[in-house]
Amino acid sequence: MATIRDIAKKAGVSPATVSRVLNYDHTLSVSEDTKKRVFQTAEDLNYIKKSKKKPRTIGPKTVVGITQWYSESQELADPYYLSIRSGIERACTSHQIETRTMFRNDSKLPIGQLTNVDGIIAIGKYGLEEVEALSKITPNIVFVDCAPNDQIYDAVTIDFRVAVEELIDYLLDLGHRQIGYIGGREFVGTDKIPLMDQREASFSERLKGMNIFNEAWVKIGAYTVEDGYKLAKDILVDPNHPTALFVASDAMAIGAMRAVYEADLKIPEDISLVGFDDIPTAEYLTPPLTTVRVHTDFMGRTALAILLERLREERQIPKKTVVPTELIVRKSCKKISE
Amino acid sequence: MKTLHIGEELTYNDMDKLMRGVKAVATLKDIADRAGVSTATVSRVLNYDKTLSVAEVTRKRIFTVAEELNYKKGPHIDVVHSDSNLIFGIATALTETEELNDPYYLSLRMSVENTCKEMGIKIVTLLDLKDMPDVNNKVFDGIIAISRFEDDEIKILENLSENIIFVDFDPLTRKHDVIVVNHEQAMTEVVTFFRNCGFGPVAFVGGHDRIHSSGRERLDHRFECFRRLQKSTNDFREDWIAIGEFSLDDGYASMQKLLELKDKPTAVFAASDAIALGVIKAIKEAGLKVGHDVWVIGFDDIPSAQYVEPSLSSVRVQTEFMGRHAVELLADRIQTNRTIPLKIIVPTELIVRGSSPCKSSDGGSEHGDD
Repeated sequence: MATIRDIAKKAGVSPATVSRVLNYDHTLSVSEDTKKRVFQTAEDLNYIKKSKKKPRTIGPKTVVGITQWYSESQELADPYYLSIRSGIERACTSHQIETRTMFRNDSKLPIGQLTNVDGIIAIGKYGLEEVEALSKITPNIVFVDCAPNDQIYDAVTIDFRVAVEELIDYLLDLGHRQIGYIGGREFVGTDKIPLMDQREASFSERLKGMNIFNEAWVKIGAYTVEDGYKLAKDILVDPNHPTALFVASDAMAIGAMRAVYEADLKIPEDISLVGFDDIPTAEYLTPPLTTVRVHTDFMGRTALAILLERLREERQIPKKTVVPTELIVRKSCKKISE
Repeated sequence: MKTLHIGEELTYNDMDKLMRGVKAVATLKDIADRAGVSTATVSRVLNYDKTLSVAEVTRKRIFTVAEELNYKKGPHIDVVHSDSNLIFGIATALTETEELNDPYYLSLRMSVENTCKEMGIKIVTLLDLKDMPDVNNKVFDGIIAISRFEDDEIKILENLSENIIFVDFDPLTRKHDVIVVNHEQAMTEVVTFFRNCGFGPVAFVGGHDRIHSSGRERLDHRFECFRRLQKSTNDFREDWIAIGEFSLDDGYASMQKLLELKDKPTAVFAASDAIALGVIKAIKEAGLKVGHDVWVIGFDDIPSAQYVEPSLSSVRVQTEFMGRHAVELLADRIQTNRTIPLKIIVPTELIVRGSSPCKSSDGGSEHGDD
């Protein structure tokens, strides 16, 4: 009887490819021709699949539910989560997978509306009750941007600590010692439980460790353009303002930029500014914004790949996947002499 | 094409096929002709045969020639060698003896090897990285690096392949794929278990992470988590911390010292099962009872953990899962031309046995009542 290896040899591909093609693995990117050749060869060689454990077929019949913890209008105001969602949806389209997307509505997530899905990709932050409600629909859940329980659920996250370390190192290298922070607070669940923000925690920890932390230069609001503007104004009223500002989202940084200009200051001549997320507009701002790129689209695609792998292999052990960030240096920071 | 096994002597034909199959370069004979040596020498040099006595200059010349021929590979060659498979190098920073003394790494390596075999990926074991010639010769499609590596060793690996995954170690290079154990979650579970069983401070017997060539010593991540958690409840005791090597001997010596203290620890966390076995030996020799006078929890859950007396509580690491996913992730990186590195964090499970006889992890019997 023919083995996968025999087919591989004859079809001129690797055994791994044969296995994935014969198992209808849609995450495999291989040309239609190759696929046909593999199937044809398998047929020619009279290949019979051993069905000790029948793998689940992942294909056009697979339905993936997507939950967005933002409402549609919030999503428009902060393109970060929008980009993750479109990454997932595009990946689903290319794998011919049907999606059902659900947004937050009046502070509530209509989880009950998600029915007949094989798995769920949950974008954003979720409270305990919400996680439980989701897990009642399907055990196959991948969280993107948070990891509610490492021992149960798959998750795709970024390492904020490493990201913040890298950007602070950059500011220190430029000679900045007076660094301010503008960030947001996020809340989860119906009880609106505040979450510890890892950017803020990493920032304070690092600056405190160096004895250059100044409480008065740390301002926390919501992750919106308006709050970026307001909080920057609060910091800039003091003539002894910091020489650099780390603004924890690009949306907030856009607001902060306006506050800087209204205070008759120039970026980066009078004050340096670093954002976070690298939203598409960041490079078109004046000056182009130095920021931390988060591979949001890639995070979305990775989440789908992990979900499909879980469905295919009926994997029980969860995986937490950390996607790296990248400091994108543009023109909003200046070297200063001490 | 036959599968190459670890430790197996590669024949000229194997190596020839291997080289052609892998990088679709010239045959060993081509390299031999060009380098002015015999094909056998080429084969043995390229296979890092240490028993071969050959001048360093010759060794380098062979690698350089191989590299040159590799560099000029044309697109047509891919068609000729359509039956080519992936070939992975498996690197471990441990010596064979060290590996045998710590079945944890052995189990990771076995899983990696088995998965490679299942997927038809050929493997070559890389020993003694430091003895490898310093040439930029990307011989392998991918490298699976198990255990801790120093910076200069990582450079050598980078010369051997563009695609590397580190298993059970994060070199913080932010270039390579990484699959690691969730130490944060594991230590939270251990510390919470001890607290729920009525213990205050817990002793920590651990090992050093390798010293980087920068000279900076890295704290074992388990220790960092442990210290933070113990400090948060004011239970951290500096004098109950013993850091040596990850070995039975050092576990034994460390525990002997801790037992000489006036105020002896009654609960010990050992950062590996090898250490834990040494700790248990010291406790027994001091005339104390493990699981009664002193509780012990190890890490890794090696197979023998359940057979020692009393059976050893330990944090189970999914070595089979980690090995398998390491291979799959590396193959995926190559097949999809992925350039963004991924870090996969795998959860652990606390297995409670006789060395810490608490009924349940969420608050059981008080310590000592039996």
